[in-house]
Amino acid sequence: MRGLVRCAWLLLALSTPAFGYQEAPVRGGGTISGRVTFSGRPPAARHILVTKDPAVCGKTHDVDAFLVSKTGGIANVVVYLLEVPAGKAWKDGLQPVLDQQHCHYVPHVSIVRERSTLQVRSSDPVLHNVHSFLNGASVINLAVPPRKGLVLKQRLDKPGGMQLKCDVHAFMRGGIFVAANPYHALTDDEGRYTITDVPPGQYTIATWHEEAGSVTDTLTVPPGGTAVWNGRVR
Amino acid sequence: MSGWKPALLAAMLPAAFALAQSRAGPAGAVPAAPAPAAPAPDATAPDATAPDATAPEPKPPNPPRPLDESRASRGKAIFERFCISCHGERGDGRGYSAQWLDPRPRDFTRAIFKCRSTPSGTLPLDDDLLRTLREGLYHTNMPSWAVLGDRNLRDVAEYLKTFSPRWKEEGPGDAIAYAPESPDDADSRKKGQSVWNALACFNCHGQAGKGDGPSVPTLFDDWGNHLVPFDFTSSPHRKCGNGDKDLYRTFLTGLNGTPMPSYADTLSPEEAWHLVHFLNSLRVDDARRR
Repeated sequence: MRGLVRCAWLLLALSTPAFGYQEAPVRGGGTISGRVTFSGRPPAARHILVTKDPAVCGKTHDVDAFLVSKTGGIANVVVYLLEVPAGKAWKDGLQPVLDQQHCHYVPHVSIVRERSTLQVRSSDPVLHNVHSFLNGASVINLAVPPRKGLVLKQRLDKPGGMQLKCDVHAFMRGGIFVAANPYHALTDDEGRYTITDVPPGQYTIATWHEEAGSVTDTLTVPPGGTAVWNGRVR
Repeated sequence: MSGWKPALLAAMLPAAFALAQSRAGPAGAVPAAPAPAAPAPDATAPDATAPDATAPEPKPPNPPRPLDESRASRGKAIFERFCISCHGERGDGRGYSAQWLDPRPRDFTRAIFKCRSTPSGTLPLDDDLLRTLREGLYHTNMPSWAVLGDRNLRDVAEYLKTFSPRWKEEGPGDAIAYAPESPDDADSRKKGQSVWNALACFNCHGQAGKGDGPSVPTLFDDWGNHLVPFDFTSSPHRKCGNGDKDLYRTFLTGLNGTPMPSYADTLSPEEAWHLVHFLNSLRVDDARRR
């Protein structure tokens, strides 16, 4: 009997990730905003001479991993809160679509809700493969051959930021961030971001970028107020 | 006491319903793609219609299977007797002999396996591991261990699962289905060649299937080792098996940890068999070439 109870608890404990984040009304929600800057001198802009499918990819390819503004703001950084048990509703709307246009991932960083589906398509008349890496280990690797109207569906279950690479065109890079809760934002060209409707309290905030290191910090969100958090990545 | 199981299932339902819902769109700027010279109109170019949602929703991962401790402990003894010189005591593929081997021995700490019957990105079945142990891997230093007997090999397979936490977090994928094979005739081979061209396999495998495509210099595995795609003109000995079914399976599963992607959703079963037959026709020992 005791063994059975223990077994049941173990199963419950194992299955809690299946419940994950709970949507609940947010009272006195606060805002987190700020800016993420690149620490030190940003890597020099690189232009690659394209020898593979230049008719589709263009003769040159700008390496777009580090988009750092004149004032040091870095774009395409995901700023997110860790371990939020409950809060605002997920935004309803279209299912996320990852397109491939002229050998660029569009959007460059896709944000996908944990345990939901990403649609993958290509606008290019050449073979691509969508190969994602979580901490250096392959997660998905789908061929996207040039077939009319082809849309692939990929379920993503492991939260975190994945690097994205095409093995056919190795200069094609991007990212997929699998979010465990709706408290996340992508920085703009100046590195700015805003996260709204955060239940007041103390949180762990973190950043993810496809090549830069991540930053983790704690902050307190006041009821109805704004918490400013600026991050520096390198 | 028997009531908790349905209760648990009922509690998991809302999560399942939540799947197909929303996303929080990436706010902020998306770098604009440059506008290179427009590519020549291509018959195979996808049209600009919005993605449709008609394809079935992908299913959630299988739950992890509990480790058979007694099997694993028996497997440990066998592993430490026969396997560690290449795969290392920690199963990280860094045994003493590994430095002389190319390809490098498998690192089990990441639980990434090439030869599987399960979909891209998922863990292999016990039978997949057993097959590799029993038959070995062509073009590598992994020999056949059939001499140890299936019972011992199953123990080893169980022990391999202790090297990575992944086995505690998820279960193996569901085995892919094999459609009945169409006859390997001239017509099928010809159709297979069109599939080869349409899917653009030549990018890596080369126009003649020799493994010398233009993307070869940039092909690496997850460990950073450079990989050369299989030369289909060489021998029938493909790494994951000689048979037609083995080749068919590889199209649908991809080779995890390598650039070889899965064509599970892009290749119909008929096309997959045509492609198998076309690749058979490239073999140097193909009877019809003599």
